[in-house]
Amino acid sequence: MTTTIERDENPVRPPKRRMGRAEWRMIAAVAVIGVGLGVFLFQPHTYAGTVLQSPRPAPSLEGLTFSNGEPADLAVFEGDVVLMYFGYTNCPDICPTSMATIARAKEVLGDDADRIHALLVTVDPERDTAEALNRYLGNVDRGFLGVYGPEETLMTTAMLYGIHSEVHDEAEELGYTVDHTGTIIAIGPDGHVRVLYSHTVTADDLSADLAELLG
Amino acid sequence: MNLPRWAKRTLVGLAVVLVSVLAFAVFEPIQVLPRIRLAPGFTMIDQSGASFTSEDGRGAVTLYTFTYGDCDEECSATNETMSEIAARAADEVDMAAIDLRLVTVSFDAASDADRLGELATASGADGDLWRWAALAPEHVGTVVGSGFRVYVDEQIDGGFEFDQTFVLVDGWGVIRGEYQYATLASDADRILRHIGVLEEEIRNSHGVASFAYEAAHVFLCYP
Repeated sequence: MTTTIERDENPVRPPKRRMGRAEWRMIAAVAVIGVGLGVFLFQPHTYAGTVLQSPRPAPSLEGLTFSNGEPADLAVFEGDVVLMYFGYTNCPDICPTSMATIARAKEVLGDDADRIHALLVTVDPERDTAEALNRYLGNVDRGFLGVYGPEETLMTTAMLYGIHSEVHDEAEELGYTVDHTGTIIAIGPDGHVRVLYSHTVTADDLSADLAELLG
Repeated sequence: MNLPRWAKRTLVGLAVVLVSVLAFAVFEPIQVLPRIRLAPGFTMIDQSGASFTSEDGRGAVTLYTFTYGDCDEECSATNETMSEIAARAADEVDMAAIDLRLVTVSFDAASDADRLGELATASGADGDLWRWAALAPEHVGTVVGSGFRVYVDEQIDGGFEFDQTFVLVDGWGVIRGEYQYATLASDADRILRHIGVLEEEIRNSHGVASFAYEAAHVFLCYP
């Protein structure tokens, strides 16, 4: 028995289904929502300070000493954020305010506070010994470190961080004062200078920036 | 598909944001100069014998160039450019919006400190917009070499080998432009154009507009 299968010369194909308006709208909506969410979730953080590109690592602290007796070296903080401030323990106004702001910003940060290292680099090497620095910083935040050393090395380091300081010998109760640039310098986890803050930055804004820098 | 009105509006809003972000990145409607790195701190003596420090430049836009008094023809180009910028600044820069300063730094204080006024007069520096200043020899390496990153090397014959360079610094003490004769056309047109870009940022970067300027930095909208 043979079976003949007839070949259909003109097969009727099902008509191509075109996407309707509603489906196009759905696709467009999903795309826009997706991109919108992306923009919302990955929007760049707006820093409270001035952000720098700084293609090279921050100037070294070679020749200086931490107030805990260790040689000053930024490499020990790699992967963390360093807040550097040039000031002195007899500073009557701007230094205590700036140090308090940094301490408060660390508090606001919570668990990540251990990854923030605040350094007070003295511009008054004559009076700021390790002991004086530790006593002063112990009253602000026990985690803060002082940086001291020979006057010439301190001056060179300060210059490279854009800091100018000048002793005023006028007779004052504290003996003398030192005018100095009051910038708070944030060094990122990669060891590069990343953000500059004026002393007017608030602890909340600084804290938000630090969280962003830590990534 | 019938979307509720609020959903349609949200979608339109998101689409507008998306198109705006893309347009900003592509067409760069706002241009900025990069914030390259920190300028050094320093103390110099200027042509009037007064102290001139990096703190004096806070809030001002300062264009530095580096030379020494005995430099002859090879330094004439930077002097001429500085002179041209000084002459054109009043017409081409909104001096009410920014405090512009031009500083020619001598790294040969031993020879130049006592004749800065004379050198300034010879080059046309009025001491107001454009001044000459000298840096103590012991700080040349730190400030000019490591801070401004300008190559200077004293020669046996008392002369100097150095890179003729202009450095533009903003009021925050951040270097915003570097112009070297050997690598880039550091002519007055280019530098004035960049001062104009900086002036616009300083003038307009307030309130909501500051977000747009920060976006320009993020998208590297450089001239």
